Order: sequence, then structure tokens, then C-alpha cells
Amino acid sequence: MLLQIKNLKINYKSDNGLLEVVRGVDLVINQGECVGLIGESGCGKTTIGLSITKLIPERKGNISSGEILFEDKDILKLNPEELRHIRGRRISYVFQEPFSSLNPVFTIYEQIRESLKEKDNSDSRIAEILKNVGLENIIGRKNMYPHELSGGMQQRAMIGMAIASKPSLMVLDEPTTALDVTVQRQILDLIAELKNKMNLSILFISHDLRIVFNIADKVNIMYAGKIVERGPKEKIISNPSHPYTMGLIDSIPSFEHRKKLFNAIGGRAPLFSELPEGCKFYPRCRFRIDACAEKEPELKDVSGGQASRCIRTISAELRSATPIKWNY
Amino acid sequence: MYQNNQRGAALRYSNKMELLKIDNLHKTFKKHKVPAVNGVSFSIFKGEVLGLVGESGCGKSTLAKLILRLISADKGSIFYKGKDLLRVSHNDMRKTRKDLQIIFQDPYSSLDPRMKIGEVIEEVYGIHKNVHERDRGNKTIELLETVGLGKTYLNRLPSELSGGERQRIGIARALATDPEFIICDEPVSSLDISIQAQILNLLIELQKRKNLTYLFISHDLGVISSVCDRVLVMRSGKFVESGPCEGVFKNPGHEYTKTLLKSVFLS
Repeated sequence: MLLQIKNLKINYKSDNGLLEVVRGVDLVINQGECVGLIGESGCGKTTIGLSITKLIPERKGNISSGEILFEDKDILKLNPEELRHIRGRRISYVFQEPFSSLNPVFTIYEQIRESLKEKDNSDSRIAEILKNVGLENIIGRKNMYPHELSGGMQQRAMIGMAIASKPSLMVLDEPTTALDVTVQRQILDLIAELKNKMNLSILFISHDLRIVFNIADKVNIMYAGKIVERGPKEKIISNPSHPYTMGLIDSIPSFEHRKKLFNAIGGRAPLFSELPEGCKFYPRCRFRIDACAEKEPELKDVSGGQASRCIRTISAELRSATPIKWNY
Repeated sequence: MYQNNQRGAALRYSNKMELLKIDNLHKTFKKHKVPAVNGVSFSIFKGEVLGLVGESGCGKSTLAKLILRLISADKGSIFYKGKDLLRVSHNDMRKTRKDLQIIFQDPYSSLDPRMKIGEVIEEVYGIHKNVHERDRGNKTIELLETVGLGKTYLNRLPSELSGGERQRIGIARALATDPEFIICDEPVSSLDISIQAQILNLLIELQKRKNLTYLFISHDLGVISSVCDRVLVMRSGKFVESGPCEGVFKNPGHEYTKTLLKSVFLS
């Protein structure tokens, strides 16, 4: 087990006092595994990614309880010096918008050099990194600035910086969202290739199921600050057991779906200041029963590593039944 | 090389009314030497959903703006019901704008942050004078209900709404003139997938109910294939392939279409 998050709780400051935005999350990443974290915007998925190396600024919020065990050390108990050796070295990040992550006034070479350990920052090492991320054509071009690269190439450079220190865990937060479809595919292929070559472990955060299903081994679905379903990718795709997961899968547009209405999820995700009692998905759920509103369900095992936070068992017939008409 | 995936296209549409006919349209922006739209011709038939797919920078949004004369074309013709929009007077164009509407991609920048939702819609009535003043209030509420919102939204500001709700306002605003033709310019690409499905449902239902005609622009082949009848594939200001969705998606003719299809993540 490379990373184990146990019962993580995170509060954010707001005008109305502290709001709990991550409400007890457990997550495991094994060596060489790609774990997907899926959720709508504002569900807390990015916050979890940042918390892994304590990157949440104190003025914004704090981790109130839980453990983050990385290589058997609790990240939350490390001092700043120890943390510095992990952050960006053992655990590295790639974020959504490559252009705002790169520094516009330094060259690509300088930025990759900066992310290398002091001893090993020769030009040949940088060339090797550039080659690994498919940027062969800028090897030797030391005057190249970020704005001279396309979005896809910028993201390749970011990935280069992330792998430069040979990390064991890479956190990818929506790494392809700002890119064109053909470029998305190239970047995903690159990530998959590097994962195999370097035996990387990956936490892949995205709102797009299609992309996560493409690259991840295991999938976690997050809603309103908690994991509502998790399991191996294949099981989640073929046999989702939480109504939210079903709704997300049924929302994927595809050729098979031609000209039909989607079995979409109605309404919108609740604000953290107005979370409902009981199951947080209850107001939007088309399979709800009265008991759902009473108590928030536990994450309970379904089968074969799949677990779901739902008290109902929803058959395939029930799932495919015509939905209640929401306001569309 | 231009591939026309004809399979049944001519037959199927021969008895339909040609609503818009775009002929040899050109546009080169002054700062750039490369043409943004380089001689495209196509027709849109009454009641169909025509998809326009391509990557960023291929000229699809420029084409949309050209059709509505939001920017001026260098060369070519745009026939709307037989009338060339590039050669009508400003007055005539103004009257025609009622029938031709657009829904923009970004529901954040397309709404005035200082205008209440009610005002956003009523402004349309004020400009086009298509609804009598005393009916405007009721009409606005009716319209908000059509897009799945209600009168509780009248006095809210855009900043109080989520992305999906804003996009519904964008749709309501487009519907306010009772148009025949709507250009949907990436209407769902900035939305979460669950909200995306809601908005697509709304657009599909409205199209059927009102027999609307859409030019549906997207870079997402999944979205295009699930809502469109025919599709145009655009690259560097030109079409590389066109035809009914069944043909183009099942049996693409052009290499670029194949590359695009390979990039789609279908589970």
C-alpha cells in the first residue's frame, strides 16, 4: 500500500463559519495502480488531491482529522522540512491548465531544471525527460518559453516536470480538461506509457467518467464530500450500484444513445451549507424511499471490491424504467 | 480532399425545405494571413439538427458568427429562405434577426453580471418589440418555466446561479423571439456531465416540440452523435467530410474524421 487515506475530514472557512467539505474519506492507492476520483465540480475532489501533501492554505481551511499514510509515514504529522522532501519529489502534481501552471518568464529548460534534484540537473538529463514526454523536437532549444508551445506541448512539459524527480505518486487533477479531443487522447496515452515504464502510482481526478474509465484501474465516485461508490473500473461500468453512479453513466453522450433523452440526474449538487439530512443524494435520487432521508448510509460492500453508500438494491429493470419527469 | 458521405442524404432531404443555404463563404481576419473560413458551402433544412464538429481554431465559431452577420464575411452568400443576408439592408437584417438566434458556450461571460434574470429576458422584448408591453412580465415567467426554472429566478443575478442554470437562461433568451433557427455554439462544453445531460435533454425536447432547426457546434463527437441528424467535419476553415451521422460515424471516409473518432472515449 503506497498511500492510505483514513477518515479524512477537511473544513473550509466561509462567511457562516467552518464548512466541512471533505466529510470522512477513505482511499487506498497501491504501487503501480491508477485510481480515479470522479465527481462534479465542488464535491471536494480537488481538495483531497491537495491535502495529500498538505497544500491547502491555512487561510482557506484545515484538515480537522484523519490520517494520510504515505510509505507508512503520516503526512499530517511531518514537520515542514520532512514535508519538503516529499512534496514535488516523492509526490508530484499536474493540474488542469498548463499555461497557468508554467511560469511565463522562465524557459522550459529552466523550469525542468528547477524541478530536478540539485546533483542531477545536466542537459542530458533534461533531454532524457523531454524525450520521455514526447518533446524530442525542443531538445537543445534552451530559449524556448511556455508561450511558444501549444496547449498539448505545455501539458507534456508539465508532466516532464512532474516525473523529473522520479516520484512514486503522481496526482493528476483534470490534466486533459482544457485540451482538444485529439490532444487529450495523446496526453492520456503518454500518461499510461509513463505509468508502465516508471511503475508510477496515479491519483487521477476528473469530472469526466469517459476519461477516467479509460485510464484508471479502480474508480471512486464522490458526492458532497464523501465517497458514494468505489470499486474496480469494470464492475463500476457494467454494474453500478449507487443511483448517482448510474445517473452519471447514463449521462454519457454516445452514438448508441442517438436522439433519445438521457436518463439524467435532476436538480443540482447541494451546497455544503445546505446539506440535507440522511443520504445527501436523496433530493435528486429517482429511486429514493422514505428511509433514505433518515440516516446517511454507510459505505457497504457489494461484491468483489465494490462498495456503495446506498440502502437500496436497484435492479437493472428498475434502472432502465422511464424516469420521473424532472424539469427536464 | 472533401468526402461527402452521401448515403441517402439527397433522398432524405429532397422533400424538405431548405432554410439556410450557405454558398462559398470566405473570411480572413486582418491580423492573420490564413483564412479562418475558406470557401464553405452547405444547406440547413427546416427541422433538422446539423452538427458542426472540429477542434479549437478550425473556424467553427467564426462560421457561426458569419451566418448571423455578427462579423462580416469577405465573400459569399447566405440565403435565408431565398434572401441573401449579406445583401439585405440593416433594417431588413434587424427584422430577420428575430428568426435567427444563438446560444453561446460560456454561460458566465454571456450574461451581464449586473442585470437581473428578468431584465435579461425582457430586454429582448424591448429590442424586438415582438411582445406587447403589458404581456412581457407573464411571457418572461412562461419562458423561464419552459427552460425548467420559474418565477423565483426573476430577481436573481447571474452570480447567484450555477453554470447549468445560467445556460438555461441563455436558452430562454434565445427562445424569447420565437426563432426558427438557433445556433448552439458549444452549449454544454463548460458543464459537468450530469448537467450536460440535463441541458441536452432540454435542447432535444425544445427542438422536437417547436420544430426548431439547430446548427449544433461542438468539439465532442459523443455529444454530436447523440443529438444530430447530419454532421459537418471542419478542419482549417474547410469541411473535410459531411453526411448523415449514421454514415459518418459508422463508416468515416476521411482520415481526419477517423482520428477524431479514435480520440473519443466510449466506455
